Amino acid sequence: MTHEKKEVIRDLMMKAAQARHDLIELTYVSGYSHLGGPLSACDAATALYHHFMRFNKDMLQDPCRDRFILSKGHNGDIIYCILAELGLYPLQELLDEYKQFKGRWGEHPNRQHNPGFEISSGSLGHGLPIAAGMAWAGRMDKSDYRVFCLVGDGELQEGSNWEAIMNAGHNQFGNLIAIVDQNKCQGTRLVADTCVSENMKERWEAFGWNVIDVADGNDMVQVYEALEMIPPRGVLHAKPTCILLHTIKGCGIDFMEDGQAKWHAGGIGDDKREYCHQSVDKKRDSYLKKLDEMWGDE
Amino acid sequence: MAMVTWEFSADAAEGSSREAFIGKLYELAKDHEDLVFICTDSSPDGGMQDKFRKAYPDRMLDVGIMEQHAASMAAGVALTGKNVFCQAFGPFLATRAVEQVYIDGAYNDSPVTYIGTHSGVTAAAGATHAAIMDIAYMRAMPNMTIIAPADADQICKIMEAALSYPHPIYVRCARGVEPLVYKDTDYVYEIGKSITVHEGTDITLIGTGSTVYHCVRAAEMLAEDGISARVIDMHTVKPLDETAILKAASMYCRNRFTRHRTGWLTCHGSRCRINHSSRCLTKKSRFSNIIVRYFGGTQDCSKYHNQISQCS
Repeated sequence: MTHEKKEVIRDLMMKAAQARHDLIELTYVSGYSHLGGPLSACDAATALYHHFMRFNKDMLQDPCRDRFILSKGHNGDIIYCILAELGLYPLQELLDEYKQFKGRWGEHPNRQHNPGFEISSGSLGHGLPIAAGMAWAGRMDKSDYRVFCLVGDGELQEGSNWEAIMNAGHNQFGNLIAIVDQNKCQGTRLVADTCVSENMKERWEAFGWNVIDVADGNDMVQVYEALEMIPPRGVLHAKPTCILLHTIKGCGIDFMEDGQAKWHAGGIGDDKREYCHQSVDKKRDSYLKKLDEMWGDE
Repeated sequence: MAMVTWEFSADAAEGSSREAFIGKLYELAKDHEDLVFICTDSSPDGGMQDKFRKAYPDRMLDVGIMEQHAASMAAGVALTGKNVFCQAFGPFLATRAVEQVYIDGAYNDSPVTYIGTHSGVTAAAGATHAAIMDIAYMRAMPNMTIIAPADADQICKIMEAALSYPHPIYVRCARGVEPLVYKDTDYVYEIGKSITVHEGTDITLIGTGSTVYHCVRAAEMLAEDGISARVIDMHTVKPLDETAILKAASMYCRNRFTRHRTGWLTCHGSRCRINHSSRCLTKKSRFSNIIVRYFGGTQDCSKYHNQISQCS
């Protein structure tokens, strides 16, 4: 791995930690927000927005931009934070308006009020078919933009996803990348206890997708390497790509990493606020130290 | 409000809206490179859809029996700026895929033109294939425009108007062959502006979709009894041309107001009754409220009696 890549990965880890800090504040200020899923998806979303996607905050309607489709709309809060870090709006505005009467940001995103969002979402199972439509449009235009769609593993219980998976695989939308945040928990229970969830890789492959299995979807090195493996730009007739991220719900805040569904959403009060921030920093520093050891002293 | 002079005739020509719209799309696709067509297992070899696919293979997708996917995917394509037309059986598009149409089409304000065929009981294919709740569902959606063409020629005008329309549209289309209401098709069509098909001074009949023809026939019969009936083609159910209704309700001396429903469930008619007719009626207590009740758009409704019973 080149020195430049290592620096990018270190920087992405810092940015992901910052997004988590912002999310903690957003939850503290508002009293209640989705937490578990946003924290598990944070690293992949950070890598996409800050490095892999063709995204220019000053050209949000650029026809050639990469599209990020947030299918698991209840993770909107972490994307709000990432977009604030990217400079689309001051973080303070988000903190002031989130879930407030006449505020621009709600618990689920609305594309007409929230800068940077391609779709309004919230109801699950809608993102993949929309993303497939955008991928098809890109192919029609012979454009080289990519369409990324973030879905949850619990969300995959919605049948509409499988219509989209079948259709996109059949039509070979090579510019479509589905990212599955497999944090193994859904709203109230474990995914495995709710509906059969094994063999996810084989299922996607059976419908004509190329699957990249990522053992730790909260390890920025692994996320980075997976995103490097997607087809080159402009490959319009090929298997669509599914990146299966094995993640930890609540990742970054140690007491939420208990493998349970209870931190799907909740509040962070005065008693936990500082501890949550310290936990995020501790995890970030531990990862950075691990990288230093792995890559040597450069 | 546009005006067309309709001459009574029992020998109306016929046409299929379902065939006409795809023929028109095929014609429009030539000059509109951003026109895209999505359908759901409705492109048999040799049909017009098949012709479209062969001419424009990159711009048409028959997704198969996936109404939910079709409705969402169409929204995705529309959000990239293309002109998207998405066809499915009305009952499956507007009930099975209603959340996809609502969230991805209406709530996202994606300018898709959804075309639901088999309106009312025009399919005669059993209760499951009758689009009887579609207007009720669609009318409740934000940003959604609902249009029911009076005949096969009018749906072509609708396709043209839809090209530059910035919001989602639901076009309610009959399945089979229906009488042509307009002998002369050289009239101006505008979404949201009703058309006075025939002038009258005693009573007003308002129809939408293929029931406009029946209004005209009713007016013809009323004329034999010396009653002069105005007929309004309320092709756009939402937004409703309130001006035309209020004008019709207020201008007659004898003050009779007739409501025309397209189905036994309260659809277009209910809106007239609740929001508009009632306003008119309460203003002038002398109004006599006559209900003309129709079940679909065919000339002989009696043959669908069995189906109507099933649906009821």
